Amino acid sequence: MFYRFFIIIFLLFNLFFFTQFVSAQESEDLVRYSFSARFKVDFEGIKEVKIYTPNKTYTYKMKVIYQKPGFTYLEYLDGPVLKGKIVIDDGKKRLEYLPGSKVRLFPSLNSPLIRKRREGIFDIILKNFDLSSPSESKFLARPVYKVSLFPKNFPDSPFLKLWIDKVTYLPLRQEKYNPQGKLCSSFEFIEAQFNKRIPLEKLYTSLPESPSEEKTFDFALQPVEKIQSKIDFPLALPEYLPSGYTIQGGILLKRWGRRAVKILYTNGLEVIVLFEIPRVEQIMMRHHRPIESGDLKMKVRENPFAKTLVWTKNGRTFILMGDLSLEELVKVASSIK
Amino acid sequence: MRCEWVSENLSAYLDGEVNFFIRLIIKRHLKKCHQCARRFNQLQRLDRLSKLILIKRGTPDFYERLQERLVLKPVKKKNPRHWDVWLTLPYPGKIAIALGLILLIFFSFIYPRLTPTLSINQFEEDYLRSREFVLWVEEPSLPLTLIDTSGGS
Repeated sequence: MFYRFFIIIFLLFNLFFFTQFVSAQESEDLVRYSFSARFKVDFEGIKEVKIYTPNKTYTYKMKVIYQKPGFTYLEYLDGPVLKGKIVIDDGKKRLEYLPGSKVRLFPSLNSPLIRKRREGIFDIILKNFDLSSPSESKFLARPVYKVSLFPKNFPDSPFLKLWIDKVTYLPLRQEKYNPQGKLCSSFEFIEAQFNKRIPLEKLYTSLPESPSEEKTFDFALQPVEKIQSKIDFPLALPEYLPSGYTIQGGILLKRWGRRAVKILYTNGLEVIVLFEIPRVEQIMMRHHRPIESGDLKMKVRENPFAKTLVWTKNGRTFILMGDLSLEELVKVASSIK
Repeated sequence: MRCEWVSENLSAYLDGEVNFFIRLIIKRHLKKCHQCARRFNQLQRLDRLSKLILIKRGTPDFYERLQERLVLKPVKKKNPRHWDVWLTLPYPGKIAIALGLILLIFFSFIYPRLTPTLSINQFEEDYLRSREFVLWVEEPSLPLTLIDTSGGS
């Protein structure tokens, strides 16, 4: 009798762990598929993006067209400043056009380099966040999985909720919360049509024929030691980083007529960027206020998407940006020796 | 040259039709130049005398007939010549204006090249572009517009 009871308990115990393991694996796969799903569907829809700030909520509506393999079309239908903006990403280049200005060219978000970087970020997400077991739900009359990403060991990190389409793995809704649990940004499709093929030539007709302006944003990350050997000023790195953040690498910039270094840190959902440049006398910065921390005199500007700190020390100008609390950002800045 | 210019504008000065700056220049000149001062006194006297002359009244329809005979021609207004104003300026004034212009050109075009001024917006755009590899970001530059709409506060 006792043995039977023991075997049942043992089997139940195993079953519990097995289901936990399977659902964790399922969540992992779901999230993994979801961030490249937009490059693998034929889709047309209307997306609503909301950015919440303490004073105001900004709403943007855009027409979204995805055509496989790897074609994306965005057209802003509404929202401040951006109405009429068109973004076309054909997998090789991304065109951005705001009526009244030149067409700007950027590397595609589906380029092999960025795809590889995005896959690398997934490991950091798994390290820093717990993925909830997928729960089944409905969104826009379609079956969806609902998955949440909660920070593992650190409370001062944002968290995310995703509604992923069951058939195509396309995220149909996303909510991002700040560490205090307040909604800070969200997107959702308010209209969606799947399996819709569209002639791509038609989408280029609203672009002007004027010459475009190529923007050469550097994406190739290099180890910090390699960057140090290429510059003539000593590179200073922060000794303190908020929990969950790890260094991604550095990028050597040759813009603004002088050499600058950009160091990137990420926790999987957010990015901290540190720029170091040989001393610059003046940085044009509207809407800033001075702050002091120890012997460091800094300027701070708080934007709805990030905070910016600027200071000069030992013949170098530092610019630190991140979507963190000001205390945390100042702590990072103060730890740069 | 200055006497010539002053005598040209003397009548207007007497009638109070010149601006403050020219009035000051003529007033100063008249204190220094006896010849122009004498000419001004003559003009002043003539003006006084002309006001004393009694005008004989015309017939009742005099003005109507006069108006009919007058051909209305557009009067060309003489533009003030800036070069003349420049010539009448004292040397310290000329030097001050020239120096001001040189400084304006220097600080507008040359100084910014010597000491580079960077705009934080370039870095902020670069920061947002760095979020491209974060998983679900589809339009990294979207929040950039919030700088202008919210005033960066």
